[in-house]
Amino acid sequence: MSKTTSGRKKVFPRKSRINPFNDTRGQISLDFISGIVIFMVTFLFLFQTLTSLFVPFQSSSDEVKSMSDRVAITLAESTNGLANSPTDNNIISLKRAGELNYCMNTTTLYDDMREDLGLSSETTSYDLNVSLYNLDRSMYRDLSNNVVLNNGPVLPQNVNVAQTVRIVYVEQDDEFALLFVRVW
Amino acid sequence: MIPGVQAILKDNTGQMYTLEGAATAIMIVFLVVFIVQASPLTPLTSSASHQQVESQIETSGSDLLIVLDYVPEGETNSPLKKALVDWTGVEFDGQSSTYPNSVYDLTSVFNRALLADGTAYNLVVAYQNDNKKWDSRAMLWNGRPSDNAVLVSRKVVIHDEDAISASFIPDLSPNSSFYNILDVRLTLWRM
Repeated sequence: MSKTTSGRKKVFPRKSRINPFNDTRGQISLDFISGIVIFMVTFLFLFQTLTSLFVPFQSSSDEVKSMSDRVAITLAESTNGLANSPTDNNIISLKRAGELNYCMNTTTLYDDMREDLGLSSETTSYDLNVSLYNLDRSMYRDLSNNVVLNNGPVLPQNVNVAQTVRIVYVEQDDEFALLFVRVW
Repeated sequence: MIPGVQAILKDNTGQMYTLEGAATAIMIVFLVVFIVQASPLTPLTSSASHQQVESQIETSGSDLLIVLDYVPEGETNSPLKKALVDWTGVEFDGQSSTYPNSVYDLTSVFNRALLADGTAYNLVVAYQNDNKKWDSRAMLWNGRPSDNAVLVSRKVVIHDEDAISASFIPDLSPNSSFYNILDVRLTLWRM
């Protein structure tokens, strides 16, 4: 019995048994580890950096919002805008609103007004749309049923438009109204 | 043919690396797209709790108090002061009907200006008590405000000749025509 056993070919000859100190093959796990490390580092890098990297290109809504706020303040609170007197904020005059409506409708006056309001310069140009609404969101009309103030270019579809709403009081009509200022 | 080019054309090994490279590039591009899409709350994302919404509500609130506190020509008091003088101290909860007329007028302006675009409000009147400390009572109450509520306020001076109806507001200076000072606090929040 023992003779036949010893006569068999050995399944694992001593020569090819695994020698951890002499082994030059089977190192694919090292590749895997370095690969996964590079992957993880890339992942973390993407997560930390790229989210903020794209933010400046996503929208310019902050910029136009501050512009619409500023234009709304000028229109609602100063006599360069619609205000009746320099001491009473938000009390507007229908006459000035009518004048503004005319200006917004005339291209050269509209361009001048944008420059006065700081919306256009040599390098930048923003569009402006101003409207006066009743508190129930219908157009504000004067006694002869004409729309008092609703002018400027048509609002674009896929651009960030900043909107500021001011609540104003029309003294002539004893009415509260909403002044919508939109900049893009 | 140039031997170098011949060698390239004959070469049919090492093509796995190119495929892996392409696959990795695609994975990285998808990962970038996924991460950019999956971070929905950057400071510029538009939502109902956006900073700009709060500042718009604050502007509306202070505008509202300014225009309501304007005395039109031919009138003695502003609509806001009329309502404060006529108010008897009753707290009007929810949208219950308000009285007297001046308070009703005030409430209807608030409702038309604020409720229409989904802004809820509370109106609290603070006054100086006998110990010169601020006490307050709700006038129009629509429930507890949310976490990102905005508060705007305006001071209204009351004189003896205004003959204020609310009896719990004391006369701070019996020897002069000054009666008390009211701090009208309007809390606004998105519903």
